[in-house]
Amino acid sequence: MNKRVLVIGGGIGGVQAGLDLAGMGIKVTLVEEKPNIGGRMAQLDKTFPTNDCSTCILSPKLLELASSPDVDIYTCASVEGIVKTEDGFVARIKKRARFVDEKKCTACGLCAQKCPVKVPDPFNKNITMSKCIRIPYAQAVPAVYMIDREHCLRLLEGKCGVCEKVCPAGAIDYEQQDEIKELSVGAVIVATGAEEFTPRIRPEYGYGIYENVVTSIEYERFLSASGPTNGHIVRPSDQKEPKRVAFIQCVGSRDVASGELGYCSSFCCMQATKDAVVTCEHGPNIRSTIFYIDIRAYGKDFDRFVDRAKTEHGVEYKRSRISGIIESPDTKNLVVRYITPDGALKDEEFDLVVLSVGLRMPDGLGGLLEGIGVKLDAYGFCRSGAFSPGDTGVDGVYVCGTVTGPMDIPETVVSASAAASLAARGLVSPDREPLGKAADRKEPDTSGSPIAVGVVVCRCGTNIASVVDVPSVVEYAASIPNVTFSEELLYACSQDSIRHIINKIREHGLNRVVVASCSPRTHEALFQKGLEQAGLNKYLLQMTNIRDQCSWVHRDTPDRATEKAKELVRMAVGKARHLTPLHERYSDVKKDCLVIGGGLAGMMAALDVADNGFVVHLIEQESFLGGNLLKIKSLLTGEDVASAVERIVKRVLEHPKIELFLNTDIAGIEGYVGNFTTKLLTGDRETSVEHGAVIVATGAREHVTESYGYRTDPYVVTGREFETILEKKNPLLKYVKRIAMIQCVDSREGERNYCSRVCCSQAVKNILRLKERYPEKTVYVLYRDMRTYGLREPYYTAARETGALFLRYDASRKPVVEKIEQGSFIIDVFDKILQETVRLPVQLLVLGVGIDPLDTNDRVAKMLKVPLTQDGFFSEAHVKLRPVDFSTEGVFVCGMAHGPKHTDESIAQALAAAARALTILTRDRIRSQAYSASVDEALCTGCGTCAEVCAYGAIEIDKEKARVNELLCKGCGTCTAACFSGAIDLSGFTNKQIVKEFEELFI
Amino acid sequence: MQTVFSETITRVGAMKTIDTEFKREIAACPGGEHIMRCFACGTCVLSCPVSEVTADYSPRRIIRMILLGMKEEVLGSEAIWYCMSCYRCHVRCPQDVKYPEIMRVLRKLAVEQGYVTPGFITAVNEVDIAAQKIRRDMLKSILKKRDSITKEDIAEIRTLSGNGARGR
Repeated sequence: MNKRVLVIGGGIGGVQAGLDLAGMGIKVTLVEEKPNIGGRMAQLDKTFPTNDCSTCILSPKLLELASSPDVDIYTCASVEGIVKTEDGFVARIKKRARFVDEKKCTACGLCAQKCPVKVPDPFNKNITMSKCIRIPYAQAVPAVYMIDREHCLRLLEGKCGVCEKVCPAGAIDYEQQDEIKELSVGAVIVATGAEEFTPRIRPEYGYGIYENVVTSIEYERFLSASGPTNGHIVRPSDQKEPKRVAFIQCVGSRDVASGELGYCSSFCCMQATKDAVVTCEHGPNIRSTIFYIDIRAYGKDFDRFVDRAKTEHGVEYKRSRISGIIESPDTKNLVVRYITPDGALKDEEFDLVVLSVGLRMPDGLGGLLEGIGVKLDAYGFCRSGAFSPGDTGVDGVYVCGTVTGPMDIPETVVSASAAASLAARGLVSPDREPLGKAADRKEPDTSGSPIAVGVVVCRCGTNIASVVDVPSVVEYAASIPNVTFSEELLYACSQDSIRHIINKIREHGLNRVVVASCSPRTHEALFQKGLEQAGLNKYLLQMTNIRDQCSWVHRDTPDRATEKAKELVRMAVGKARHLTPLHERYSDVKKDCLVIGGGLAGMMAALDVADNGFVVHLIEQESFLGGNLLKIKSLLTGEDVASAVERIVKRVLEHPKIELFLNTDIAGIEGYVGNFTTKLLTGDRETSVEHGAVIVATGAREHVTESYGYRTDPYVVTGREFETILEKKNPLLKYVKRIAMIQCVDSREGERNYCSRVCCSQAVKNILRLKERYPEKTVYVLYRDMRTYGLREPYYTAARETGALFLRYDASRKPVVEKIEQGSFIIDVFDKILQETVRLPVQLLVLGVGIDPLDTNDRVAKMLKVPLTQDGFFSEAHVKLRPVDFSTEGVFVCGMAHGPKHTDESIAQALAAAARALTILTRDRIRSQAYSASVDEALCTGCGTCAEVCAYGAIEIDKEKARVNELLCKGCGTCTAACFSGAIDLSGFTNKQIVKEFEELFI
Repeated sequence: MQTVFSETITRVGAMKTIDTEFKREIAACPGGEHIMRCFACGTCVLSCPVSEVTADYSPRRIIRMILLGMKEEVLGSEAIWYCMSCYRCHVRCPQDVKYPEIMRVLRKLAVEQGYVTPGFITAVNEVDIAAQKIRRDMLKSILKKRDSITKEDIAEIRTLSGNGARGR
């Protein structure tokens, strides 16, 4: 079997799939059409709901992929054809000439400076001009220039040739030819993504005609510090800052009439919310207004984000789909007419209008996929079955990301990890080369030489430089004792900057490096790698955050921000003088995996790990497998659940690699990544298992409500109970003629201020199943926002077509149910359309009650030392890019333990968690961190305070002296703070280092 | 003839009058087929030249009344005669609801079910033609002085047409 995997597409999906495969020790070839990887995420300014800088969180992943020895990246390349062979596939890859030698180019940028040909810049959506030889953006990976063959004078007419003359590296090669390469691979992952559709399909919005109407992706470029306006919002017609910005939702989405785009693009509501917030942050006088049909804030913490947008940033939300835009010819302002909540028409003028465009499948991809037998749906998406996400129906070919339907970044990352786990089957090798070569490398001993500190101050585009006077900080740094070198960089994290830093370390003989930029949380590893490459111990790096903790928070006082930046740099140098080399430790990996929870997610994760050849201990509290899925009868997409559950349970029971523990509770978990020991309690029998990774799949439960008379009347049921009534052909159905479904019961307000994501689709599903058999029954759905996101939208359309009537209510004016007698109710609901209260006589109430976290989450979270969200669900390491990881290494989450989700989403997340666990289980050794507490036995009194406060159980008192288990120690420092006699110190954060750092503040 | 009009387009009747089959009756007629797709986004109202001059005229409300089954109110309402069949609502409707055609269906039902006399439709058609003529004549008079037209002239025309709205 060929052990290489071909990943087509270098957006965040392809990148994640590549990283996971490489993490499992599988060789990867990634093919990207554009000159750089990163895809659309690289074009975004920030990401919701945390407003993290998109490039900042993406860049480390891109660099990690590019620096992986197991990954070959082909940019400017496309897959022309794939042929199935006996043991895999042969792909024909066309690599288009860059006319720049990738190995020689140092991305110094001289060529672009001197190039005389200006062309529209595609990375900036052609808003600004760029040169004919260019790199898309500063942090682009690979950091290699490319000549635009359509416009180059030398290539077209044989003239010019300036770039060749000025290139100091001799990297320009006009003779470079397109190459065709044939590659044998064992599996293929298609992650080609989707494209935003053109708003021209709705000409009434004036895109392409009115200058100040832009698309949401163009607007992202305006907001971005590296964009065409350096992050200043200006309107195209006069380059002035707009004061009133309108966002128009569903341009092309949810629109069956234009171009058959009957689906919802699923991320645009939140993208607009984020962009509106960022817009308001740009100045106190800018107002943002969002015009929408339904706000689809269905994800984790999304409703809270929308609430904050309203209350903290003053973003206005107006529920009115816009019919058309009119430009005032003299001012180029745009008049938008909308309907007020009381039904009146109102005209409002805006300076800039942003059209929220969704995603569609690009034309032309079909040929490649259909050529190997992959089927596409009516919209051109490559949709998998709900029980087999990532599957294409063709063995060895898997899909992830927006090629499977519109989705946001975390769903893309999850689906990418899932596809990686599918592609890995049969390719994972148990005897892979252990990590740790780097540790054996000899570092020069710098202990004797005089301290030479280099200071790098990052401009972070305009993030820092627009507030802090960076040149003066650099100048100041040079005056600090021991600083022998200082300079500024536009983006210290870009590939060429890292290379530059390495050169400077060598050139100036630096033995300490201070980087004044952003957070070590996101970027320390990157700069540490640079130090390593320069031959320095990576712990001789000290970062100081002059962005998050300086320029961002002191925007209004730039002078004082500059002073603060100088002080921060001085303190960092103060600590850097006392840094010492540190070394990581290695420990062996236990090859088994623990999966907690025998519901759908737990079973699927267990099967996936086991199918890849590793032993799984699957723990279930109940006496049976299946969890919530046992109470679901069918899926929205039509799949029969019972037979699928039966199939999955059977596979789990029969799998030789799965050891099942039913009726079992967890009594305690000890250890750390690669080396856990878990005590299990089955009845009163205690057993213990050893394992290298943990997958948390404990699930969630249906909310128990007391609203609308539930539990006091058999004619008031939950959505899930109604499914059973439908399935069992309950005689009640004969009597009931009129049914009301009330959505968002106890949800999206008060204590439960979150959306349960599934209830709208559940109502739609129930309507479709009901109407199949009883088309004459009347159904009213009382809802707040219909959140049938993505490819679920066509089912909502179908539900309306059955005659079910959807009436919207406000949280402040809930439906009032009057019980006439058992099985007879009158609902008074204020209909916004009629502007009057409508009285609906119904015989059955179906409540959309949503999903609650388990009460036991708290206990499990404490045992695993992982956090929960405000709502009580497990909190992943990063909402966008680490959706199944915890910040505690070796522990992963999937299914509804993480938050409410649909069946297909739970399975995708289960496969993703399995893939992430496999990146650990496939290793023989794992590297643990270098920071660790240590005890000075001469000072230790053995009082035990440190052991008491240690959250990780890393300290024991042995013979009246504290003893630290360095493999368990997380380097948190709690013990050093608690120790009465100053006997415990933490390497990397020694008392002396911290004191010296602070002394600088008080000079 | 006025007696057949009900003045109830803004009043919701008690539910005793609902006819849940009314929507299907309309959906079964040519042009009515997509009526149940309506998700009440309001695009029709914002496109409608009649809504522009008639504050309480709302195509969205008529559709909602049909979907609720308020048959008597709908067929008896003045509103179903207001549509001037410009089709802008239909062109812009994301769900392909053919509102002008639904109005045609309603008018036919109103005649068949005795809400108006057959002659009424002829009268409405004549009104439409007369209105077009008035529009053309007014335009002609402006076009005559198009080179010297002033803001005051436009204001006067607006006053004549009874409001200050702008065409969309």
